[in-house]
Amino acid sequence: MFKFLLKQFNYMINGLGEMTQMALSGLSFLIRGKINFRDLFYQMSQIGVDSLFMVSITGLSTGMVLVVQMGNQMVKMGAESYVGGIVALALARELAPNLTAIVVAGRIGSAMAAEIGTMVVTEQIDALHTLAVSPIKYLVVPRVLAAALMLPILTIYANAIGIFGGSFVSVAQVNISLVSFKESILATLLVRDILGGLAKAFIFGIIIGIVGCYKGFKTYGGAEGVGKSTTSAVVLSIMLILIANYFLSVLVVNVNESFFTN
Amino acid sequence: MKFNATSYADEIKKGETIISVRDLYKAFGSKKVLKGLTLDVKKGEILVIIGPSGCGKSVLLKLIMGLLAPDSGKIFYAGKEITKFNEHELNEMRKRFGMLFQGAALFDSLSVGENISFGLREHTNLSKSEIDKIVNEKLELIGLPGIAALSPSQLSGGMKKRVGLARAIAMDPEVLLYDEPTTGLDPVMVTIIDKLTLDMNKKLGCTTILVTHDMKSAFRIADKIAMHFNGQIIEVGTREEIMKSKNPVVKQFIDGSEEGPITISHATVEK
Repeated sequence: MFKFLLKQFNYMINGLGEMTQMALSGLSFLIRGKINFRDLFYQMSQIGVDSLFMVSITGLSTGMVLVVQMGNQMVKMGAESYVGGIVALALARELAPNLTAIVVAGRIGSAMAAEIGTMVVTEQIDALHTLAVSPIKYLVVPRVLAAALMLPILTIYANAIGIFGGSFVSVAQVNISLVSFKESILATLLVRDILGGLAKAFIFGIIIGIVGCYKGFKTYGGAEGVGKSTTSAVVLSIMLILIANYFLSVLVVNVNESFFTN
Repeated sequence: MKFNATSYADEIKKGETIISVRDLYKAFGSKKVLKGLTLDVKKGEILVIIGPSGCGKSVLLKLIMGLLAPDSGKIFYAGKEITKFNEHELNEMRKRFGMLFQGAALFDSLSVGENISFGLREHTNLSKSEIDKIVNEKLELIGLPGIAALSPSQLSGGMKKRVGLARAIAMDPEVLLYDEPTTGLDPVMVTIIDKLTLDMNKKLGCTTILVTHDMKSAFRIADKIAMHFNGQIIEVGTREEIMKSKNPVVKQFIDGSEEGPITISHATVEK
């Protein structure tokens, strides 16, 4: 049992090390300006198009449910003027970046692992090597960069549509006026709350891209292997997103407190 | 045309050794695939490596290409020890090599033309019209003119192999490696691919290493045949020498008979 755990731990540390190595070598291509912009924009549009619908539903539902759950309580306590602010704050700081990242991990991270995994089992990655082209430069850099850039954009969108959903339920079910909802948001939400969320989304995007590509490269054993990589890419990236979220949240809160307390 | 890749093999004359493999060992987990393999390839010749499926022939090609690292042993290309090369040096060397994979390994997100011109676009500053010209030339050469705009999924197995070959020769390589080019093709296509292999060798003058278990093909194209068995090269010779070989393994393999030293346990899954 102990041996098994030790082996798993070893395996995990190894994996994290290899992913870091991949990220660093990608970064070195990035710094040297070796980016294929055509591919980058293609990947970005793929990520946007593929996840827009799911992010819409996630954002809308989250905003609506927040108000459903707390709206009536708040009205009873006479605190209806806080509802809009709480919804906006919860979305901007935590819910929008996290839920967007989890949805995109399921949709895009898995697609990356499947695509690269298929390239591995059909020897296309070997073919890239024989043509003297680095798969990191050709496949990893545009994908990770695209995910890192698209996640904040999708998060802004999730914020907006979440607030729209919240305001809709407030007006239709809880009897809070749109004006009071809006005033509450303006009084509570600060630009730095939004920026903190976007910074987290950027990091989540990097995690999704790196894990998706890494799991793809680690594929072996034909179609079954591709299936396994796909699943494990989603599981691992969601776990890493949740773990990273704690540390990033602590960081963001600390930065905010030390720079903006006065 | 020499593009901007470093050439190592210019000073080597035709008929002199260009690639030499010395005492190569490679294992995957507990499965020992190569056990002290030694082999010499002369410049300009067509060397066909035959052997039972799963004996590690493809692994040997991947080791020569630097796609895998050996456990021990050395590989020299034009006198340089490539097993000591770093990634950059390996890439410089790979620009002088072309490889045709078993399943052709075309990039399915790119068109046929983009596949063929991949190396040119990545490594040269040629204009689009010059690249298009080379693509059309290579398509002519493989007998499939005018298919540059198709996607690989629209091609048949034999066409894919031929496009894979066009991609491999796009940079005018010094060495061409073929990994079972005729496996899974109909007899007519096999003859066409064999003829192409001979053509490429003659027209481009490139050294050719071809891995196959198709004896008919081997006898049709080979300058020299090397028998790979049990992780080693057990016999090398011209077509006639191999045909008259006294070695029981070679004899059994040529005849395709069930009885002999090659048993079913040698035909395990190739990695």
